[in-house]
Amino acid sequence: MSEQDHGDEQNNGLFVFPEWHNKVPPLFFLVIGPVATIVAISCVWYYFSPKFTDVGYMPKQPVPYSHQLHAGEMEIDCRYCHNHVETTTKAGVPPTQTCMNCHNQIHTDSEKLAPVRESWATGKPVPWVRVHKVADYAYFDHSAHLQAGVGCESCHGRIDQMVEVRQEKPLSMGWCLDCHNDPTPHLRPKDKVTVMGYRRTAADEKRIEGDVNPPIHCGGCHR
Amino acid sequence: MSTEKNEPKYWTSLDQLNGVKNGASGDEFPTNLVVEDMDGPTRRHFIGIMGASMTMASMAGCIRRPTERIMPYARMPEDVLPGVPSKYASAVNIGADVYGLLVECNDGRPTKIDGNASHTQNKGGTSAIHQAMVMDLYDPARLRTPRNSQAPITWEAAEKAIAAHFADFAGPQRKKNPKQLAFLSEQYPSPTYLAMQKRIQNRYPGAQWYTYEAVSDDNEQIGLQALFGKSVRVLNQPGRAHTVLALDSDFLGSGNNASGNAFSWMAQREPTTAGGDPKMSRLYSVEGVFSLTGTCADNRLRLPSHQIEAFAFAVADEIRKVGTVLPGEVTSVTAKRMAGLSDEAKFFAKVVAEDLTTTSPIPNLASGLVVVGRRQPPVVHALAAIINHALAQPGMVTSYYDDFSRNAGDHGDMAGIKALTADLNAGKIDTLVVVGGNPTYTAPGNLNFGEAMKKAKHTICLADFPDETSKTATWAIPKTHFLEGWGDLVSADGTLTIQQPMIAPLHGAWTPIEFLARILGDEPKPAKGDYTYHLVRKYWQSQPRGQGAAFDRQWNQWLHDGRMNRSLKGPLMSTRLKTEGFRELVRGELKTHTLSPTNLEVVFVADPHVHDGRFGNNSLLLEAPDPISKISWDNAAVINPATARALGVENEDRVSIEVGEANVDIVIWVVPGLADNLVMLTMGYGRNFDSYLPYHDSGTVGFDVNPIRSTDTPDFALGGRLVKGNGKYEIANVQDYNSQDPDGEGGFDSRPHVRETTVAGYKADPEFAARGLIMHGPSGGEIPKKKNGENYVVFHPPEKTLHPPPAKGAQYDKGYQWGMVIDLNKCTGCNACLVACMVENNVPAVGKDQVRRGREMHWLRMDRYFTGDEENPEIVHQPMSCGQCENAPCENVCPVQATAHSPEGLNDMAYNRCIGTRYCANNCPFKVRRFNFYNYTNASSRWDGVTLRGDELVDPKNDDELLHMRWNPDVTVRFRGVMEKCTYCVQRITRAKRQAKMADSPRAAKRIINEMSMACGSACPTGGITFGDLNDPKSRVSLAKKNNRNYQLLTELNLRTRTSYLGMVRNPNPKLAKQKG
Repeated sequence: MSEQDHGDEQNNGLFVFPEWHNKVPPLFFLVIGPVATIVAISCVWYYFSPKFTDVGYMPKQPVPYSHQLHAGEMEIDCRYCHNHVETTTKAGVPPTQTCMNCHNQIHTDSEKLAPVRESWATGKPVPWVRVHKVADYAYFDHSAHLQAGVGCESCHGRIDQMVEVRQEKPLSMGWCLDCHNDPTPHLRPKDKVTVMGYRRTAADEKRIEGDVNPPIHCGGCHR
Repeated sequence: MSTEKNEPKYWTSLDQLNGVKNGASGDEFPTNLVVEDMDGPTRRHFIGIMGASMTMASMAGCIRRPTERIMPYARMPEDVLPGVPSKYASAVNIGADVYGLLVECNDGRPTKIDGNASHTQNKGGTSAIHQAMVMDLYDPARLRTPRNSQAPITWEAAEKAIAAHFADFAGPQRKKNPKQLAFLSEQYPSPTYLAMQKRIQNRYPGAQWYTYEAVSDDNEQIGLQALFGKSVRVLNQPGRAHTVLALDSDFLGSGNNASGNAFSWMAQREPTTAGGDPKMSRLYSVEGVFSLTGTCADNRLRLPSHQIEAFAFAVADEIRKVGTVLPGEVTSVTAKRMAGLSDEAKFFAKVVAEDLTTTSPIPNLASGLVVVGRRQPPVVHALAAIINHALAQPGMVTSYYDDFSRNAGDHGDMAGIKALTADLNAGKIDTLVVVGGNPTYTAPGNLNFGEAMKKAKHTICLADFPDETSKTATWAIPKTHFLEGWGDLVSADGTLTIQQPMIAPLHGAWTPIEFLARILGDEPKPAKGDYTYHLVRKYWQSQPRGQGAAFDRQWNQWLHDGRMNRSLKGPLMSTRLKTEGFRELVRGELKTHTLSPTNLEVVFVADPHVHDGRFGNNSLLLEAPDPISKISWDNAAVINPATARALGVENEDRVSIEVGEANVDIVIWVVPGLADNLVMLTMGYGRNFDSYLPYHDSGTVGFDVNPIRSTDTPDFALGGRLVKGNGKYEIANVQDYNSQDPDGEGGFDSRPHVRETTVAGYKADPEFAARGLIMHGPSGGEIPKKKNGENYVVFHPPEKTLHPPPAKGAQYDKGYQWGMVIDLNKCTGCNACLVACMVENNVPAVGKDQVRRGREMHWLRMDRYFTGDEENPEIVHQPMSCGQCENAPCENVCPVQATAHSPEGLNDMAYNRCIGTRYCANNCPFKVRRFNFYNYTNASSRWDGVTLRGDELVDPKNDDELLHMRWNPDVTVRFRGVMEKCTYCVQRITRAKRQAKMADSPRAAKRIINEMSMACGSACPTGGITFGDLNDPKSRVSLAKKNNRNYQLLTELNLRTRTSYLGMVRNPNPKLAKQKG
């Protein structure tokens, strides 16, 4: 009965679904449904993950400090400002005093440095916006990573090419575990940790610096 | 119930012994729950509606990351490392008791207090009070601005007012007579302060100075003054004597220098088997109340406080009989003063005297020492001094020092405040200056000090809180917390410490020294720098060797070390006591009393947690359960079961205790082990100030017992009567619901967590503990014959297990393997570890209502086990925390793997994964997992909806900022719905591992690991908790585990706990064994 009918008249007033409706359930359950689900899940998987939401975060800072100028062109070592990174858990943003070490003589009238001079005069801190953050219940320790031989750029990217600091890596637990489960490809000699654009040598493939034993148990980071 | 009444067995409380279920303490896992009624709006319906809207809401939730700021310094101080805590030394006093401390500061905020090991008095130990003192610093209820008759004024106005007021009293042109000036100070043994006191008395001639402490050492002072002719303090080294007799003394728990005493005493509590039979020291305790020292005693006699004097004379008599020479002034009155002792007491005295005079079997120890508690009358203190003098060389065990804590001519506590009250009532006082302390509350009730104080025309108070005293004052000035201000302290042995601040005063405050300086008015505030710093430094510069550049170096060294390299005068070395002074103390008739249910002895005990009430707003201390009665958040009238039966009262009954004309309403709590017809009352409760306490439904915590305390009987009173009141008062008792049933009598499987024996038993079977057997004779040293013909009370063989242990080499012999050993012999039950853990790990206090439901959050709890006779039991304390079982039953049942085992042997807890199933707590055989039923992180998220503050200066959000300052930043603060438990202080482990990794040499690394200690271990004054790396065969914990007293808990479950215990061995005197029959 392939009659297409609009046939209320022919069916005593009863509505009959058109033929093509028969194809909808299998089309939906076998094709559209799975495809849509997979697409939805994939979208959530990626777009809700730190890879999308956090990578590329580049907030506006109160002072337009350019790492490309200071760390890149002028080749100031990371540790001149972030000077506790090898000894403590937090690398630290430098105090105003560090900036004024040079800028009480260089560019002393620059508009861009006004907030820094104001902070130096009043003693109030410069309110930097935090870019790289790990959850409050996870405790990250910079010094342990530097002790192991993880380079700054492995997690922070090519800071020396950034005019404004942006987050390059997702810093999610999965990403951390990717390295913790197999650290060797990410390690370099301890004296080369601040080198930007480091190229691994053949010797690096074989060497593990010291006793690198990154924790993969919960208590390693969560306490 | 057992038919053999004398058979000793272990029980956790009287309720458990008598089979009372769900008594005063709620069941943690109740079985008689009411099913929710399904009519009306139900949860299902609600969630159905909310489900849809919640989905919508979450989609619209913020995708954009909130802006977080980093605020560096503008000028960073040198030596500040972000994220690394810094430690500074300081000291604190409670009354005359000085403790040297090391305070850990995070980001400029003090967050943890520990003992300073280089201080000679407390030797690195602390008490529960010291651990919790850091909370008081951030207490939102503190007085924040100076007030004039309750109205806040500015600091400038206050300074001017003080200066102007005292200008009237000074100099030849004065308008007012300085005789009308009176000072009432709490005890502050500070050389600078005491020097300023003298200057004040010079500048205002005729002004009276009184020092008052409610927990008073008057009796010791008067007693020793009679023998020495001047003010003297005694310091004992109990570990240097083989036998110690404690007469109503809590020298291990709450007496002066308790930590130092405990450290010294516990050194001889390891049964040494060198050369034959195991030897240990021996402690006899004779007391009416139950004190911590009584729980540590090998033999204990219950005797009401007023009879202890007779007992002391009986001991003196017996000592004389065995040949020791005592002065005539003592022997001539002994027979009379011994009258009224029971035969049991006389026999006990005889045995004790023999033991005190027998040469110590352990080499290099004196034969005996007598220690007297502060509640005993002066004659007992003097008699003990005379006996000690006869038993040992002066200075070997007992040393006497000049009293550095007060200036000469001090009246003493009770006499002083009595005289002051008389002057006030006579209208002689124009201005009363109260420097610290809270006399309106703490003064004995018969003085009615609050009313008397109003008779002074002006009162000026330097106070911590708007409390009973400062609220009625004309001017109230905020006082610094000890962590906020400079000062100095001298301990009883003359050791000097400079107190240094860890943080500037949070709200603006004056130190007592600054306060006096402003009253003196002759030393203006320096233009730069802290006033008190200037004054303290100036004082020490005026002392010998105080000049020049060497002084600056020395000053810095003093601050670094936490003590000066010099002390005030050393111990008195005279070998002659002025025994003629003894006659004064025994003048007068000795009245004998017969106690009965209508003639009770009422004893006033300083609370081990709130002391005289000054810590009455500290929620950590209020929630920490009293070590003997296990009550938290209240105090009670504690009586023993026989007295309760005679009076017809039971637990939680409201009663009224009457002494003379006065009475107090209070609640009954029954604890075995006290003397008959004796009521033990703890001071310090029932405070009536606008307490912050967000955790208690009513405005006051506990009951104030000061009304029935009088200046004549501040320590114990006779002629007490008990009148039954109306109804019941709920008490939060923490002991029973953990369902630990030691010997299986309660219907559960027998779980002998405590293993105990006597020296004789230890000799018979050194492996007693490890074999899972409880073997204990009644105090008296006999091993009882038992049911199956074997010598054990409970026989519990380790069962064959279905789970073979993991093969050695498989998992646990690489890297660090953490383990802990707790020595039950060394535990006094003081709760220092319990409070230290709460402070270190951001553990919240939950309040009385939640404690009643068994939901208190103590990660480390102190279990109390009674053993023996119901009327005269012994107590064993056992600290219990997560044992980090290798085969943890909690790990298998977590549906989301929030708790997993680390390769170093820790049972890790990932709070963010936990969904709150609580299956893990259900599975834990020790019930050490604690659940956050509510959000305890904010003061402003009050979960019971009751706000207590009447003080308009407080804003809940502001309170949060203040309270959050006390959190340790290295430990996650847990939100509602998350399970937590002891983590072996994994933050300390991680810090030590990191430092070890960066150490210069493997040896330095090893030293760092060995020196690491947990919060509980470093707080324990006796060193009872040992922690370390089990893979290091030379670490202290590995050596402790090799001790043959070592045992693990519940070995039949094959849990393989990392925390093990060392079984307790007591050394009772066989002659005092209970007569059978």
